[in-house]
Amino acid sequence: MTFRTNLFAGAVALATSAIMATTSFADTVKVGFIGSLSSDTGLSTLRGAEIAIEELNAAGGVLGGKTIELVSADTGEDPTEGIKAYEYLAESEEVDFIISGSIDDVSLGWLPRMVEYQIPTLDTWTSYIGIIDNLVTDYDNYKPYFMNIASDEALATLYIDFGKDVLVDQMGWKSVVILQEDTAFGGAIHGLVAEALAPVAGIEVVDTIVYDVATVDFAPIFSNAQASGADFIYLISSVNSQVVSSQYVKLQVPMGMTGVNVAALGQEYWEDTGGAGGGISTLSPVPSVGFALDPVSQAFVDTYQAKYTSRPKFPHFNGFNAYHGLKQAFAAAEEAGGFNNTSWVDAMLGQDLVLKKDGEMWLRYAFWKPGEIEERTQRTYPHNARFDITAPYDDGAPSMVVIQWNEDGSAGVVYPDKFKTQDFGIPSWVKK
Amino acid sequence: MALLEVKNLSAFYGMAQSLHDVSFDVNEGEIVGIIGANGAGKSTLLDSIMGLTKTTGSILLDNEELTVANTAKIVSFGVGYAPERANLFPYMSVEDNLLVGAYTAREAIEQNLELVNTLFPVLKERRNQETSTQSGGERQMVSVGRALMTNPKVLLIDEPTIGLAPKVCNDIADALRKLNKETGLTILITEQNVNFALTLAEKLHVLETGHIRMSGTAEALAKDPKLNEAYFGH
Amino acid sequence: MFQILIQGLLLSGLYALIAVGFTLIFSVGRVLNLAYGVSLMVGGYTFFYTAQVLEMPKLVGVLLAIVVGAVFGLLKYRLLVKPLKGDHVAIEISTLILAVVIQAGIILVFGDATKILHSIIDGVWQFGTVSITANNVAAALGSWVLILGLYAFIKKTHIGRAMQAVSMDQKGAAISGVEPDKVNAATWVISGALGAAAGVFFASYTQLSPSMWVAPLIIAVAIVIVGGIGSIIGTLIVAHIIGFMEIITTTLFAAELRGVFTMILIIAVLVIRPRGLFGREEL
Ligand SMILES: Nc1ncnc2c1ncn2[C@@H]1O[C@H](COP(=O)(O)OP(=O)(O)O)[C@@H](O)[C@H]1O
Ligand SMILES: [Mg+2]
Repeated sequence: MTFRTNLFAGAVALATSAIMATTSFADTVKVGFIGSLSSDTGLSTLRGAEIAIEELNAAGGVLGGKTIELVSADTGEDPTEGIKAYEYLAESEEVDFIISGSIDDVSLGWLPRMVEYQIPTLDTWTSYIGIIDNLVTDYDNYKPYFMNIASDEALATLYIDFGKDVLVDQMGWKSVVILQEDTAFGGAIHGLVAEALAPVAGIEVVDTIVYDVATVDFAPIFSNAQASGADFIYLISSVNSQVVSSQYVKLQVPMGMTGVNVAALGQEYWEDTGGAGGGISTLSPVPSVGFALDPVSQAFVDTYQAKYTSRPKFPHFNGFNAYHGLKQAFAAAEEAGGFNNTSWVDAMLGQDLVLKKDGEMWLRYAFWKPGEIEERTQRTYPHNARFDITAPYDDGAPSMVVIQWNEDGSAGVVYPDKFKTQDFGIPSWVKK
Repeated sequence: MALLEVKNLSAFYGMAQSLHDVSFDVNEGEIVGIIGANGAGKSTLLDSIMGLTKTTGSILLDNEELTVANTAKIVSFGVGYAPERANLFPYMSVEDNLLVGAYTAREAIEQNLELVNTLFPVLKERRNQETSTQSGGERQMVSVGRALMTNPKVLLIDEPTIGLAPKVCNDIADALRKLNKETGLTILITEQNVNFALTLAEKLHVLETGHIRMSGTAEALAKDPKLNEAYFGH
Repeated sequence: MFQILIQGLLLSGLYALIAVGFTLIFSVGRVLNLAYGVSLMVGGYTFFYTAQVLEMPKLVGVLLAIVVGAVFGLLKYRLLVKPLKGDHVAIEISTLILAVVIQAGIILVFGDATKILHSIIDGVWQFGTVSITANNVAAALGSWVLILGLYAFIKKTHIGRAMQAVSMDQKGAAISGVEPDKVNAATWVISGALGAAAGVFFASYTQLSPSMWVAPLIIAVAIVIVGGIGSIIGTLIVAHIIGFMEIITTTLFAAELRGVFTMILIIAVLVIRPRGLFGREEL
């Protein structure tokens, strides 16, 4: 009898511990972060996700009281490392959902893995339209993918408006010399500027100077730009933006310059250029540097700044995207009862967060549905952020704004008018 | 008391032994010759004195033990060396070659330069020429000159006549003799050219496969039948 | 024409300064110091930290960079090159590994974002379409002064002649009373200091980033291959050939071909004169 009791007790203990084990397993939901852990870009997404997860956990957890656990995988901004990182999250960590702060090439690298594993994945940084095109042509395979930043075409369309409204009408510029770094990104944007911006806005492209990304000395390039006789310089740079823009400032090139300058997107730009960044302007996804914030986004920034003291001291746009996007992903999971089914995709498509400022629509986190046609560009953007590229921007956030750094280290939005905090200008050393 | 005392010196290249228990003295003011065929160990002996090989035994200069010192130290103790292949600095001028020799004897540069120039007047004329463009005889002179610039108590010279024309050999012999006479500098010279050695050195040692086989004055050795047989074939 | 002349001189001066420390090590130590670019990076970041973060006077920043570069050079010699005595492949691989390790260290301390240095000297002049900054003029003049100073040092001092001697004949140097070890150490110190000074100027031209050691290493190797590893004056001349070629290509042909002509020149020289234009390996 005693023997049997003991046996029974032992069996109970065993069973309990087994149950405990499974419950503790089932008690967490795993989120994977993929991106560079040493870049401002990657860290912005990671920290946005961390804050959202903390808030969700503090509010009693998700999916019936489970805690969210975050695991991260470093890509080092290298496509091959990115593929390994995605495989690690999928196979070793078996995550339920992935949030990405990857740059274009890295996302393109791991995308086939996403198709294979079918893990719901949200991209917060890359705006590469080619990824959205995959959803257009092969929806069934790509449908776990979402991108909550406006894609390139939308950015470009609004940017052409900037050319017309500001560069031509306001500044009176009629001719441009394009400085383009010799990269795939540079080539793509150049096509856009030369074939769309210039003809539509009535700007003549006088010359295009393509330069090597490892260029040490921009003095001869700026001399040629000046000699071209154009009214302004259009810079397209993503890899080495600080060098070219700081030499523009150090050499005090006496011509206006605007364009796409990836380095100028973050709040750290001023510190990184040691103050040699005044006058530089660039297009930026929202919420950009110098962008007036709605109360919800402001609260996020306050939490962020209380929590993190290392750089980036101010989240880049993708930090906001990660914060709001992660919460939406879990809201969708609550509706769908988890992540691993098509109903999550439908629920995610139904998410709609409108952030208002002074009663007006300011930012909107929602997605274009498959088949839904955007009016101005007349095409579909399945699972892309639901942007708005027509004033007064009451259907969504603008796909981009143009920001400009001032010589005193401040920065502001110069276009479109609704979001404008200052006028577009030229550096003090350029004669009007 | 001897200026340079070599006692039971053995030298090794890896496992191979090239000198076997070599012992001899050099007194101040003497010219001592080491003669031996190719491969006998002459260069090894001089390299060993300079601390350039692995050795056992003892080498004393003025009672200072050289085997525990490195080459630069040995030079500063007072051993000057003109090695077999001269080891000049080919793209430096004659003068710069000489000045490198003065690296540890900077206080005596002027006086030593004067000495070299009077001994080898041609070097003064050619002082700006790179040594890579010089003739063999002139290079030998630079080599000896550079050794003199170290301000030596004893000068080691390894086969100065190798590959030189007889006329040049005589010039060098004259210069060395003059050096010895006028400054009293002690010289240890190696030679395959026995005639040359016999006319220059007062004392000689015959080296054969790393052993000293015979020692004596020039006069005595000149008459020695065994030496005559070995080196003159009669 | 004026533009090409001015911009060519400025860029070439910088290139010469970058290459000369590398030449020095190869000639004296016979080692390809693949961590040479790191000396520039160390110098650049030291200047950045002292002058821009701690806001100490710029001169202090430059001097400190030079000191740190010199110490770094000495440590490389003592901890890496000397223990690996003579094993060239091992030295080259370990200097390369060192470069990668230090790159990781820089990322850890400063992050991987690129940074722009303030001009060391402020001021800019405009001549037509040519802008000239005081900083670049100072860099070019500084590089001339340093190179000519180095040349005088090598030619006219005992230690300088000893360096040449070691580079040409180790045994000849030893029997002249020179200790190759000390001369080698001195060479690494000087090369490190020159590299750090070049790094401050290079970074003030371009940027600071944890991977910035690669570009100057390539410039140095290119100059040294074309020049024929060796003489300081050869280095100076070839730096001007490469610098001017780059400015001419950028100005008159196409900016994207900037590096291509240099590469073609390198290959052509390797084919036609494998030992370089001034072909020899000694100082
Ligand atoms: N660097 C060396 N490594 C190995 N063996 C050597 C080396 N130098 C000389 N030897 C050997 O030592 C012996 C003596 O050589 P060496 O001193 O050059 O003779 P000599 O100068 O009398 O012609 C020879 O057998 C020679 O092969
Ligand atoms: Mg010999």
